[in-house]
Amino acid sequence: MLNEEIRKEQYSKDEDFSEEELERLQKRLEYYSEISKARAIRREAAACRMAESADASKKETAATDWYERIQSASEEDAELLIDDILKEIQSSSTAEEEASFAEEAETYEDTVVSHGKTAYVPEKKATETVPEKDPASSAVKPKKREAEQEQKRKPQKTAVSVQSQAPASSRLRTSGKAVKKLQKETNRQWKKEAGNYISGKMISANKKKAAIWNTAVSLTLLFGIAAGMVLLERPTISNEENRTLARMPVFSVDSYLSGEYTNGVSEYYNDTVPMRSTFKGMIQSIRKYMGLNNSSVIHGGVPVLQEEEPAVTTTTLPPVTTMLTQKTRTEGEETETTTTVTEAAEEEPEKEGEISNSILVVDNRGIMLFGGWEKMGEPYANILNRYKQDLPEVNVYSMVVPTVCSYYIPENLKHLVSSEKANIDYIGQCLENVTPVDVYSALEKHKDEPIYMRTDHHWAGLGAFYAAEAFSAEARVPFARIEEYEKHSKEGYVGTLYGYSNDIKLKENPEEFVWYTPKCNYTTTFISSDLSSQYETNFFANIDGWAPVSWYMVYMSGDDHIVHLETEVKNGRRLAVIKDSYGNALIPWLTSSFEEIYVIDMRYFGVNVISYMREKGITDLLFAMNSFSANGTNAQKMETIRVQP
Amino acid sequence: MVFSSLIFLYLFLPVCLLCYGLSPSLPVKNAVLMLFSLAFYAWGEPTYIILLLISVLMNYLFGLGIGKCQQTKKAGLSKVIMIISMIFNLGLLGVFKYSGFIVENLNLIPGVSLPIPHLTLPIGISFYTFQILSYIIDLYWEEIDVQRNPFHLLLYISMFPQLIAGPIVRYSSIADEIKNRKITIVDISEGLTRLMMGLGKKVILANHLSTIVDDFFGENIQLSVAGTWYAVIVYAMQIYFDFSGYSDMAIGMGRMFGFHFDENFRHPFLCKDISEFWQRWHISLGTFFRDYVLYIPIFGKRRKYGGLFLVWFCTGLWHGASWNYIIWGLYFGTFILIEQLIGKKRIKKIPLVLRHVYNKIVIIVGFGIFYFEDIGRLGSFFRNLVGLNGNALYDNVTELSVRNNLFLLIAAFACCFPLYEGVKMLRNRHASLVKVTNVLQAVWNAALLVVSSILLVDATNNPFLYFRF
Repeated sequence: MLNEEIRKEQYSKDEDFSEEELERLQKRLEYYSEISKARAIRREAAACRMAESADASKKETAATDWYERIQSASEEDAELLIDDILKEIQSSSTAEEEASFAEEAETYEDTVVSHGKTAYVPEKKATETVPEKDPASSAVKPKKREAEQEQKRKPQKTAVSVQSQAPASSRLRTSGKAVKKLQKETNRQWKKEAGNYISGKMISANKKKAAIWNTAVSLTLLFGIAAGMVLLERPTISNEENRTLARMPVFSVDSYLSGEYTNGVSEYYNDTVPMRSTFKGMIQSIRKYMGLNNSSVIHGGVPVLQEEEPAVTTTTLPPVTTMLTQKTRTEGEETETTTTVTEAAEEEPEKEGEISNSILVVDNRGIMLFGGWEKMGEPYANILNRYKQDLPEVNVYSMVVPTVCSYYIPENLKHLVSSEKANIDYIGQCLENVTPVDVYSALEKHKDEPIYMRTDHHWAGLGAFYAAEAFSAEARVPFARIEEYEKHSKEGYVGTLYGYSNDIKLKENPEEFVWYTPKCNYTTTFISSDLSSQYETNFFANIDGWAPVSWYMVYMSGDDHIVHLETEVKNGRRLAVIKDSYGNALIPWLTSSFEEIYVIDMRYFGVNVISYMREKGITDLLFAMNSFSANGTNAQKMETIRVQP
Repeated sequence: MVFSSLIFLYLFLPVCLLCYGLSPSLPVKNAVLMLFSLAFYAWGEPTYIILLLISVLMNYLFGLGIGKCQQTKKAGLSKVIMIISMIFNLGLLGVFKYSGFIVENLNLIPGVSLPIPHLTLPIGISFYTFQILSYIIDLYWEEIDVQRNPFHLLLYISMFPQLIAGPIVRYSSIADEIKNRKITIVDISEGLTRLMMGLGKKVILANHLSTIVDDFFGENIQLSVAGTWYAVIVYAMQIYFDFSGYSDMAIGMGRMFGFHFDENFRHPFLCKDISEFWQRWHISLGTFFRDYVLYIPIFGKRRKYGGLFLVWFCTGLWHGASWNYIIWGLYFGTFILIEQLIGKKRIKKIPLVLRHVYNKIVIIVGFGIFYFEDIGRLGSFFRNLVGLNGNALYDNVTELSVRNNLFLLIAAFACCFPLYEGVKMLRNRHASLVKVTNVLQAVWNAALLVVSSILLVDATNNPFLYFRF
């Protein structure tokens, strides 16, 4: 320890120092710092020497090992170690080299020490700075030396404690600190430099080799994959996505100049990757394990689903958020364990779920999570109020349908969703002269029945029945019992939520798709959304042979047209329904309640809806949509069709 | 053709590298690189490639003219040619990039009703016009020699790594390398490393961050205060990774062909003040304006502030023909002016934490201005930020999005710091790490390439953001 002497001197004297003494101390300080530097230089030289020797003999590991040892050793030990190592090197290198090096190192030291001596001659400690010359003692056992030094250190420690008690000269204390700081800094500096030097040597020795390997690996991949992409057979259809993949475009000057050709080739190359389906699967797992969720969908947002070729689903998925996955049971087990599940549910078990791909899956049921807050419904309510102002003579009703997440989310995951009820109630409060239809409680009473689909984002026909019942009560119109309808069903239904979530549990657990058709007579006309054409057809589509995912389109074959129904009812009530896809399932239940029904999807309507309704002599206007639509972009679209020419 | 596409990575690039590598001499290599570059541009712009060729040819002639004048000491004529060249280049940029914008704004004046021209913006015109300008101006300032080989000039302008999304490479920085360069195995290795890094930034980070942004900033979506901040922060990171990823790929590929481009991004989010941000963000653009615009003597005595205003107006306008970009540029200009007025010394006295909070807020809000081209929506964004739209302070959609994308967000955040440089520094200090890091480097590159490529198979979301530039 360099400042040991200063400390000793400091405490051997009184607190007061004369100017000369201070000056002397200052010089000493300088001297010590020189010593410190000299040591650093010497050690650096040693390190360099080691590295060079290591390079020469290709003993990189040895150099690294030494280096690590020196790094981890304390200052004194480091020096001893270096001496050790020097010995080792000496034994493996020529005496000539070694001599020149030793000379070099000592010259450094001598210069500095002699320079220091002129300023101040230290009484002792000379040995500390001079390397051990005696081979016997330089073949040190560091531990022994360490023990010796530990003893040396002890009195110093007491000195420090004395220092903290005795009020010594603050200036001197600063000097002591400065020495220590300097020492530390020099130490750090040399360690860094020695490290840099050795690393630098290692890096440059390895640079070319590393570059060759790196290049080889990357280029092999690049060329290998390229060869695979060019040579392997390219798929033409994707069974998973149920679509034909892009085809190689035909070249023509026109298509080239318009950019179509090059775009087409790019698309073809990117779309028809060999082993595409394998990679698609890998993408899912990469996204899953790396936490890259491609569809963290938000209120109003719509996840992109590749559209089906045979029957394009125009029903848009209402906005959503997260999906947790639960372990699947096989179908056989499902029935057996039903009771157990119910029991367990009463105890409110912690459902294990893992967030994946934006839709929560619990008990093989996909749940889209509602994220809106109360006031978010205000624009919707305001739009409805404006409709009422435009059509003061018409009864306007608001039916905001809650979604699955209101009824089927386990207790421990409830924090993932906002309350749809609060949102719907708030909308009710904001409505002026518009009658809210309380579907929430109507559905809640029947939540043990299949009122929603498990694998699809829509509600089931039965759910729509209870909602229609509540509406007919508000509208004071007749309402047919469910026995007046014929029940149909189809097995093997896997709805849109599988496509959105890619959760295999949904696909492995298909459900039964049930719909009801009225026994009464009525006529259905489809009118194109710009009113340019119309034709009479069946309200219910024949879904035989359709891909299961599009079975919900059994109701009026989708959304992109206006539907006009004429029934046998004669009560002078003409209903217009402005709806999203939820509304589709509602219409059949109203065929015994209104004389005429106009079904308008707010997303597909080309003219001014107010004048259209006036023209048709509408007496009742129902807004029927799920809560996501009411709080999202679809609500804005209702405003668009209200004001557009 | 974008770099982050399978057809580029696994058809264009390998074929180009193969031909380039097999070329026996530098002139052949140059020719190969030029032909591939032209093919690359023609792929994306089958017709506008004519514009590029004309532009290069004209400027080649302007260059020869200036060179001749300087030889014969006709300073006046040299200036005239330089000005004609400016008018020609900026004129092209103006016509193809800004004519629609200018006419739209002229039409706002009562009584003016001009037909709005609908010219599609040639890809990369902003970048290559600026590169040509750097050649002409440097030549006029006699800082470089005239390029007598038209193909060399064409190679410089059309070189595909930097052609469509920067960085803006100065002619002076690669003039020598066009004529004389050595390609070592280390260059190729470092270049590949850089390419993979950029690819990963773009495909793994930026593309996924962009889905979050789209979800939150889509039309007619009500956002909570927290959601707005969250989305704009994510957007800032998206732009950074997208843009710097592109620059990395450009620099990396340049290196593989033996060219050393200057750095374009240096961890901009580490900046301590706004001035520093612009020394770290899109450096090639910042230095371009600094060197060529700041000292234009058109503001007389108020040159300092006039120049500053002009630079930031241009910076904004360069990013797109829309008012929000101009606001964006002037917004940064204002803060830099404020910082200049306060003075560096006094700013340094402010606690570092406060400085970071200040500049991060300014930068992040700035990205909001950058996002919303529609001024109405921009206003709504500002109200959302502070809850003036009656929006909730917090909503669980935001929370869910954070939770859903937690790993992505953590990774993106971490990548804003100089991790790569950190590892390098550690390696430089600890010799024992040298071998490990060398192996890790190769493995990491391979992993980035494979993961990015697989993700590209499902490239429903691989936006190219520079079509406006």
